Amino acid sequence: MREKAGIMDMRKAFLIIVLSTLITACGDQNIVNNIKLIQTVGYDAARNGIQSAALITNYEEVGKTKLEFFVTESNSMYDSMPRLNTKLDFPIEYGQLRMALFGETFARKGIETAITSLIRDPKISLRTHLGVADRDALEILNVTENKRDPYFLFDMIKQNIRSGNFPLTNLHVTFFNFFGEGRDVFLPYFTVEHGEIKIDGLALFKGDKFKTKISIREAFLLKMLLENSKNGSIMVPVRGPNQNRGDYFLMNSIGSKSTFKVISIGPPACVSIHLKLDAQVRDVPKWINLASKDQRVWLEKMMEAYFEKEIQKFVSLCKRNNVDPVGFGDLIRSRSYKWDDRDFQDHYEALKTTVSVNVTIVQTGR
Amino acid sequence: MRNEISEEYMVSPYLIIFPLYVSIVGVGILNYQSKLIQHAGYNAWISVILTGISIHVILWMIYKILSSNRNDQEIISLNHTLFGKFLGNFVNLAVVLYFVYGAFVKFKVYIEMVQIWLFPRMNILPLTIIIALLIYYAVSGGFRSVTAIGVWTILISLPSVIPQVLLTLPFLHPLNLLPLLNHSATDILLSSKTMVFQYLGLETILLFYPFIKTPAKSQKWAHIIVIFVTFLYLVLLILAFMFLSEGQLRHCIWATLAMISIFEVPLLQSLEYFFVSLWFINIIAGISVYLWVACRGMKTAFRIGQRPSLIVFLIAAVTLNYFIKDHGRIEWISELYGTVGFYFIYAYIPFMFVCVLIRKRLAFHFEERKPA
Repeated sequence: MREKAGIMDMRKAFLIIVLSTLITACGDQNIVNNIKLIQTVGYDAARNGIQSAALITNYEEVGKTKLEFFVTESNSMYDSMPRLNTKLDFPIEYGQLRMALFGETFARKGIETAITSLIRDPKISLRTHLGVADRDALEILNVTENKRDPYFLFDMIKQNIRSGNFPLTNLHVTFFNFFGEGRDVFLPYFTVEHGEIKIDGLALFKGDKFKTKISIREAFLLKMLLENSKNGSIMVPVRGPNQNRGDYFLMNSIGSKSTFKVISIGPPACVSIHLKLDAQVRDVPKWINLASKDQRVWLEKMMEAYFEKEIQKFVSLCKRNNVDPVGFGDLIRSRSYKWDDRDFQDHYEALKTTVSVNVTIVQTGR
Repeated sequence: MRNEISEEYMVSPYLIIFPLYVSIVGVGILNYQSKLIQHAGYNAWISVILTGISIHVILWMIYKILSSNRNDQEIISLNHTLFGKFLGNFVNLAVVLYFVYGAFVKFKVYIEMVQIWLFPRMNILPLTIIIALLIYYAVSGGFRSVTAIGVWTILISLPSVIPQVLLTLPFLHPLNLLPLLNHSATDILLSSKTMVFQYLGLETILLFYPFIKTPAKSQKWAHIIVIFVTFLYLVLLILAFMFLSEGQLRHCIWATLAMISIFEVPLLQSLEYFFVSLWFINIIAGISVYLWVACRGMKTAFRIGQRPSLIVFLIAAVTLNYFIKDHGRIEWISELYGTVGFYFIYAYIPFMFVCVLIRKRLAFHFEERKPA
């Protein structure tokens, strides 16, 4: 009796195993040669609607890739994919999309529809990077076409976040800043120099509209305020006690930590910023002797004063343009029981900040 | 009244953590965050703690009800004794249908998730039939095999959730949790009510209780698993709060999946796909417990064999699943289930608890003792 039941169970188990292989037939198959993988897109404002450009790689043979470049015009953002489809021999897949670039006029008009449509699609990775071009996105993408790398811009941004002056940014961070109260979006800003693409700082947004750009130096200040600024570098001016022409030296950040304290929630609010920075200094002018402790302390003091001044300047630039990439609004929100975004905006210009910086020179060159 | 259960069908007391875990935790753990903040905003973590505490009280009541009488060790027979044959059977039918409904909601919500995340264009009927066959296989193996699937679920799904979620650490903004208390007590309680939905499944113990060897010893384990589940919900909620800004969470339905999808590994760029697939076993296990419980109820209440009722339930689930496609209706179905479940837990169980207490008091008063 029991044996018979055992055989029955085995049969049943076998049946189940055979049946589960059938599940594989339920899914839809996509072979890489039979689809068009969109890897980078660019959006520009056109006369009536938008112009979108897509970079697609053609995987013909191993090791050989050919970039294809398609431009479509459509009335709205949502229509661009179906329109593009009418130009292609295989269906589009955009699960591998890693970069979306907005042209300057497009970004000034507002990117809300673009980013919300990116975020709604579960296929699109949250690690996708966004960027703004100082001209039409199409022109910048045309330059990348020669690079034979569909992810050129993506890798460029990634590289600059890891080992450059860029604060951490991607689709998730943009979305966080866009919908978060008391924060504004910032995106990498591209330009073309001598026929090569160059990152030219950050584009600051108010709401979904591109407002102003900051240089790569100021991007480093923002990085220090937002996160650990490891690997960022900046040129610091220096002037000796009896010199009339100043020199510059290069400073590399080894690590930094910023702490914000709300002194009063206002209005007008008052925030104190404390920044601790560990720096590596190389190539100092030869009249500075880093081996001497006095000189090092003097240099640290000088750098502290410089950063305090620069951060104050950066904050007042933000206030002047009414953008808040640092998230001062969010800081005040977290301390107040009733918080109104509009009320904060009205008094943003009057926001008071005190900055204190503590620099330690930890390593010098050989 | 009661069928003797042979020991070969029973499980050890500590094993109940598995059927309890799989019946409590379902698809809800992937998207409860955005529902929870509708009232209490980012103070909703307090609501999770409040609901967790109330669930412990309910669990204590369940054990009091079930251990009240040595003869009637489950809710079906207890309904008979308390309400008489006709009314008792009416209540029993409602209880059985409630569990079938719960199983269907789990089934439907998972299928919908597969359609959203994995295969939007897939023909869903073959998939549901195969899932139904798998469930048939699991449930017809008896309570022990249902428990065993639960063991596999915990072994497979938990290790795959926890490390992935911790990878969000570089993106966390602890500032989001502040200010700590800027919502009224009413709002926090309303969110607690929404949270109850995530604990439904606990009541399956009302029916599988007699299948535990020395049931009294299992109470400790039941409380442990509720503490664990509360902790899991709390951690995922607080991580989601720090990972997503409040406005963003309102736009983000699948918050847990969003947290997982921030991480990329070579070759597997979208880990959330992997995760949705792994969640399959969790859902199979959960539905199995629900359907096993429903079939068991049918057997003790109406003397209908477990196999025929299981087949009927599965066919009903597959057919209904085929005809219900609209997202709004699915939402409505699961919300209705949430409401029914809320009253099941916070009205029916305390009511039974009071009834059992009164009955005990009366029995004590008249010094009448039924033969053991």
